[in-house]
Amino acid sequence: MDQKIMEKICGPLGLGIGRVLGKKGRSFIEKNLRSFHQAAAQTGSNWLVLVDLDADECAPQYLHDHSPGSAHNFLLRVAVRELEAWLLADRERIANFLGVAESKIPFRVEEVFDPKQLIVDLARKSRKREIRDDLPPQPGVTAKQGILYNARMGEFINRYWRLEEARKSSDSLNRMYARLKSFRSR
Amino acid sequence: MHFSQIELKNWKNFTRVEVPLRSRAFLIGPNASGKSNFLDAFKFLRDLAADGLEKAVSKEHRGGIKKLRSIYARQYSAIEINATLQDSKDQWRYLIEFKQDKQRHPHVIKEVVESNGKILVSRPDNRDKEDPTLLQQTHLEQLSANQSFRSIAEAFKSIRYLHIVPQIIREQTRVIKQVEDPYGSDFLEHIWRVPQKTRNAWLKRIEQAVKAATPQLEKMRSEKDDKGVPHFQVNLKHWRPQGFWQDETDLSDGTLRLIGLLWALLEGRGLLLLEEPELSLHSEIIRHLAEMMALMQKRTNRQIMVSTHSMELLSNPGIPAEEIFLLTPGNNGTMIQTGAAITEIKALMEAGLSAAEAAIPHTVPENVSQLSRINLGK
Repeated sequence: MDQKIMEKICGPLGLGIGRVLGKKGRSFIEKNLRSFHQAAAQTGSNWLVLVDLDADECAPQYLHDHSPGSAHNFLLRVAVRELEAWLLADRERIANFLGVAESKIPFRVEEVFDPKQLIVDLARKSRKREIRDDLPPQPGVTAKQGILYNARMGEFINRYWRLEEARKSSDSLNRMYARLKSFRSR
Repeated sequence: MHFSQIELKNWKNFTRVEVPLRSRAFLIGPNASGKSNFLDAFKFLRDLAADGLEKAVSKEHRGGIKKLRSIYARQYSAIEINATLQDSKDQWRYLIEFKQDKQRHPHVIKEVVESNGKILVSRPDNRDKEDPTLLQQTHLEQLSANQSFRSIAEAFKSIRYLHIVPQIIREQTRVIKQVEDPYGSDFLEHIWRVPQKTRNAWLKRIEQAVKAATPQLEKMRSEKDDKGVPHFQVNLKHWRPQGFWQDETDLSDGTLRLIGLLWALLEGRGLLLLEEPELSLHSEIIRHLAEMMALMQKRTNRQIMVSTHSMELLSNPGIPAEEIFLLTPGNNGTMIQTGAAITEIKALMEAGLSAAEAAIPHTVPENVSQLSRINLGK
């Protein structure tokens, strides 16, 4: 899912995604931040490192503590409370996709405590059978999402999600977009 | 029809286990903990319904009763399989208990069939007492005797087990073919037996999936050669504008296993048993296997059981703790628990960790670090 979002964000900027590292959780990223930065400095290619923070963490503090250096082609960004917040930021389309009223989608998406949980909860009340079946976990089981959650949300990102709309309601997305632009201009 | 529970007594690694089942089961555990043996209990039911008790137990199939009995059983005891099944309206139970008689024939100690709590068969019955030879066969395997519970017999017969061995598919001429061979010796015939229209439609779908995994692949087809032997052909992108047709002997292990897996997902309606479907596949493809299975189930409502060692396969956070089955070997046989029954796994998964992160660490053998200290030099 993360990769799909990044493709949608980088596409309009004319930036292609070369390689994707990680998918091993935050500790993998944090352990290797210095190596990534070093690789950026040596190879000259653009590096973007994206970290999800938990709700109780402060993004500026995190960036301050973890920044490995100042290579111009290296960017460490924090997606405040999961990438799902960025998806919620295109309110009209996400409401449509989930089959719920647009009024159910909060305006200040970055203040939603657990955006994934919100998507799953909204999906339970969806008008669309497919959304009700695929996004939430089956009743009574121990899981926070359905097995087809990623597949369905990936479809949403590819086909419906609009970067331009989402940028209007998400500060963190907007800031990242601006920084990525600087990648291009260099 | 789905299995909602299975109970095994003295079956291979298991002294006694009672396992609640759902539409999916992911079996995890260290090597030799009994994952394959657990799946074999279902294969056994299939063989029982399709070929009968004698053959299902036989040397050629399973090496005889001696190989089936739990190695942990302290005294001479019978083997028992007790299965509960559920369809949209009815609940069924099939119980078989068997032993070896003095002539070393397997014979039925007990056979019970219930439908919604009503007993349809309870053996030994009066006829068995008059003629004990009848106990060499189950009612399940006899068309004349299984009339009242034919749907169970059919459900058992439709169980399919798959563990494709690419070498066997490639060496079509050398391998002696078996019908319904889980290792794939009859895989190409299998494809060929499906009516042409369906076959082409399925190949088209598989082609799409395999293309995602193997970008140089263009097209896929099934063809017979001059001798009437079916082959599987793929067209690869090439500097020649028409591409390049290759048959199964040129395909990689991963491609063949992926094709076999996808075919199995499309074909059939009965319980599907998959043995380590991750073998030879790229980790990014494995990440999508659970989704692919779920999508297939939406179409067919087919039950599926998978044995695996793969972190990637279980990395989908949508796999609930209830679908994870942890096999733990002990001095009295292997135990089976769901992830939801183990407090630590359940707590971690409630907090949002995937089954891979929460449950796989439980399967790591205690002394595994010694492996690197074993002296393999001279």
